[in-house]
Amino acid sequence: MPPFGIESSAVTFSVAATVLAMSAVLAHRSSPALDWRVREASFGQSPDRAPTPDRAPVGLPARLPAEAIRDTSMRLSGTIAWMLAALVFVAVELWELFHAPRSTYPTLSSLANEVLGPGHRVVRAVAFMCWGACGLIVPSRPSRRA
Amino acid sequence: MNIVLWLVAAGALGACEVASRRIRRGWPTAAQVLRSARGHLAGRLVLVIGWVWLGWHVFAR
Repeated sequence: MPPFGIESSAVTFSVAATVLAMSAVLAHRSSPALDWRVREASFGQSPDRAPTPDRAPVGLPARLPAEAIRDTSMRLSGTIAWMLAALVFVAVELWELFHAPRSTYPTLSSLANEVLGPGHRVVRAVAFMCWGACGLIVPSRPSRRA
Repeated sequence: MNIVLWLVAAGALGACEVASRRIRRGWPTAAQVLRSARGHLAGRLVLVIGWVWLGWHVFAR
């Protein structure tokens, strides 16, 4: 199949659609309303007494306001730094994409083709399975921590 | 090959992860950033588009 042709793209997008559908089914099956542990724990209890993992434990000392402000400011600056790093990544990809020749300006796919190209069947198969597994996780909402 | 730009991009991402491990307090790790992005519909949409784009670029050849 030619690279980025209709056939190869259709196969990839079909697999992606199947994985997304499987992820939606798995997310629906593991929703709290269907989880027997949640149903049994809240059975016979009024809604306001139901277990709430997000609530802070009673009796623990409250954190100092200055410490909390410092944490929030660090979290904000960290998130901005992550976004800038991701932007650099996207900018490099676009810069390489709109320049030629490809051997001098390699895109992410041309770099990956060196190790995941059609000639490397085993590595390609493993990478494909990993990509599919990521597709099961990425579209789902994160579970709450206990 | 013009690989320096890719090394800079990888270095920026790596530096963020190292900073999150060194500073610890407040600075989110990659996993925490992805987790918080998955908590919002727009974040999930961006991640799914990125995931499909990555698979198309790497495997549709």
